[in-house]
Amino acid sequence: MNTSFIILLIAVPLGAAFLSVLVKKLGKYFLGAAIGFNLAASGILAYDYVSPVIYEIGGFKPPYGISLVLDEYSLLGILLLNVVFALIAIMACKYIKKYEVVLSVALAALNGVILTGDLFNLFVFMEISAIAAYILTTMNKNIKYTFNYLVLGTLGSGLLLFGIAVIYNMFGSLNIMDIQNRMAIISYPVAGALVLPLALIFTGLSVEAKLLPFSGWARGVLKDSNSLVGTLIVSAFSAAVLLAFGRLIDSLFVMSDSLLIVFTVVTVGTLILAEIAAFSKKNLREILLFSSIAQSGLVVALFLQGLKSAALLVLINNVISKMILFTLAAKIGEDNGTDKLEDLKGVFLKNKVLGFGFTAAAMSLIGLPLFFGFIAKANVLVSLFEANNIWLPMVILIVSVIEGAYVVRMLTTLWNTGEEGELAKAEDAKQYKLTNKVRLTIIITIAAIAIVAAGILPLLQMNDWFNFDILSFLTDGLGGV
Amino acid sequence: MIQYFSIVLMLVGIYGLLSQRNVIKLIAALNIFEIGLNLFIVSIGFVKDGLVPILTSNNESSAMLYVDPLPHALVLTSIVIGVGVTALALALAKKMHDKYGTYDMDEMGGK
Amino acid sequence: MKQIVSILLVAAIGILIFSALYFSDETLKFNEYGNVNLDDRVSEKYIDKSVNGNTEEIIFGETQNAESGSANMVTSVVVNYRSFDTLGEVTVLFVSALGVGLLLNGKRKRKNLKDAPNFILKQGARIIFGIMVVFGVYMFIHGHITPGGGFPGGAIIAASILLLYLSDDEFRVKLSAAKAVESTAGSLYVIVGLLGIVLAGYFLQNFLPTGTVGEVISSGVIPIVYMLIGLKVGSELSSVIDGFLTEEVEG
Repeated sequence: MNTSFIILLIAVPLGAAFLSVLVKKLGKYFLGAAIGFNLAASGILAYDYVSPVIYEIGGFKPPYGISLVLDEYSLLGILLLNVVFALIAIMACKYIKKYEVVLSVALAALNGVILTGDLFNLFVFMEISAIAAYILTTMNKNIKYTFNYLVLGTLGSGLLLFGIAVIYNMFGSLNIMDIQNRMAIISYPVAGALVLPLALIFTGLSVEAKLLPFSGWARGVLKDSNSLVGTLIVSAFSAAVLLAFGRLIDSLFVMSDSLLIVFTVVTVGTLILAEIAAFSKKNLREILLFSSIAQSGLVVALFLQGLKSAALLVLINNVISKMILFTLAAKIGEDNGTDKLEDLKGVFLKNKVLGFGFTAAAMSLIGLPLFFGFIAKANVLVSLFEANNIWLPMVILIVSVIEGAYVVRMLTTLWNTGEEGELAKAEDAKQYKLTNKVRLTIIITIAAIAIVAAGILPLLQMNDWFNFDILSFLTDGLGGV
Repeated sequence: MIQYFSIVLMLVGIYGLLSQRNVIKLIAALNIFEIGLNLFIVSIGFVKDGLVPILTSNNESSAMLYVDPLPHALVLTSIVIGVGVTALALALAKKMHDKYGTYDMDEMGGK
Repeated sequence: MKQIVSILLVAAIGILIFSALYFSDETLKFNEYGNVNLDDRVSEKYIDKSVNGNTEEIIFGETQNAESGSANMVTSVVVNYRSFDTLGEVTVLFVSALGVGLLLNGKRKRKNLKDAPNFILKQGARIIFGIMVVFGVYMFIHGHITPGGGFPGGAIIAASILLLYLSDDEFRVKLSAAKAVESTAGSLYVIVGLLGIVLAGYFLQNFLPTGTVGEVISSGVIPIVYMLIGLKVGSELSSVIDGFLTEEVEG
């Protein structure tokens, strides 16, 4: 395998960004080429993957130089990220104009966030992707919320850097694996001393991962965002941040019991409160953004319990289904001037194909059987029971009821014209139009079929589908193809 | 001592972020926070009696005691990031002032 | 009321930070100010330039072909050992300058200064402008042997441009030229990195001889990279300055 592809995932989009300022007219093509290259490169890396690779930038061996780590975990990350990014860019290409460079930079930075094996480098890439996100959200024309986002995001990354500095002071290294090794050879317990840096890092990452109470920016930024910005933030950006979060929790978070309880309360609290908030909202995009916050809470809570595979399944399910849901929600919102549920009664009667895509994604989100979300949820519950954890499955099941309630309410409103009957139907049919319909329909249909296929095939093919390890599946399953 | 001072600066910045509603003051508070943070990072690299980490004709051997050069490099990066974010924040502030005619977040209303 | 709550919250955070850093009774401790043993840190090898196995002492003006030829150790960390971070930080500045450009767009003209500049101010500023630009260039060319480098050098150049803006109410930089410099320098930085893959094996690896520590022409790609960074930072900050000192014209 040519390991240079690992660095090219970051270098090519960056180079494309720099070049497209020079030749402005070609910006679109440079962005397209970068996205295409990244898709191909991540495909090649996945195809050739045998064992973890560490790429030493500058030829300096870790921990001295910066290294990129390609293991099953980051491989899954870059595959998911590049595919999702490409799909969103194709579906929402009418908004890309003028923002090609920012998108290229964001693509490079998100790949960097997933691949990097160095704490400070992680901070740099988080900051680049955050700045790209601030610029993208100015498309909403509601600068006040962008400013809010900028202030919170900068404070968060500052706290992250503070935590990294304390870690460097204690262990004398910035390489994540090296710090892990240095922790392992210390014979006395280190959890007590790590409380402050871990709390700082957790807080810093929580801002971007949208955990409560640090997610104040999300509502303003996302509630009237278009299908490019909003979808990118709820799927691509949040996937990258959560993956980085998971990697840090997995390798650095040696927590004392009380700290673990605090973190768990924050994440599970996010899950519960955000689902309740989603239930109480009346607008499509607001429902989806609160559901996205809740899912982030669930993913981080699972990472904290040490259930990497289950967390990744939930993450994948959330990213793919949110991509479909948010794109359609934003599209409906733009075309009709509102995304209030009651004004959109029976909107899907006119567009049945898109409606079925939306329905499949929503069903997968709540985890109904025959959809991918079911596999994810079953894995979560089974692995939690195996870890002798009773209360978290209870919480998840109760929350699922709330989630199911608002998703079903959403679907019935969108499919059903309600009491007013024919009149409302005719009105909506007139109002509801879609530009870019062909591209959108194709991608959403494919993604919806993928969700259904990923929900049915494991049931038929695997005996232990409720207990399957996505990371080893990636090497054994795909590598063996 | 300087380390305590840098942490106090960071706290002043956080206080500003929590209590102020004026856009320009918020940007200033953010900058105070960042400066405190940068000072803190430089200070963790200080070694007692260490030299400036540059080889010159006076300090010509690498065997002498130097301060830690890595935090200096990190701070360089963090300062530049701070500059970028501040520039963007000021541009947003200008845009907001054009739109609402005020720098006060409360007077801008819910829109 | 808000003030009191904020003060209480900040005080709580402060007590938390201070007690965890300086008054903890854990065995693993935060190393207090100045009380640091560099042997425990990775930076020890940056000082000795011994990451790739060099065992000899580095002597100013004598050592040849060290793994990083820079006499300024901070520079060798910034442009050799952790060059990837620097590429990232260049990108941060690039994308935020771009964002400023996107926000403050449209056809623009200079804002009127409060006091119209007189002839002496204009001419005097031009003389100082030349000196400042030369100093900025000096700064990034000598980044590997003296304190300084691409970022301060670029900032000094941008400051000289700001001086012209303040002393002359007609002056504007050519934004297209600034964009061209910025983009060329950025692409060249990536190309230097890619040349590293082709010629030496790894991205951003040094592929030029590093010469004698302490000489102006030494340390491989460092002066080249710093020159690119200097130009890039200078042009980016200049276009940001232009954005803030101009206003949109109607129509």
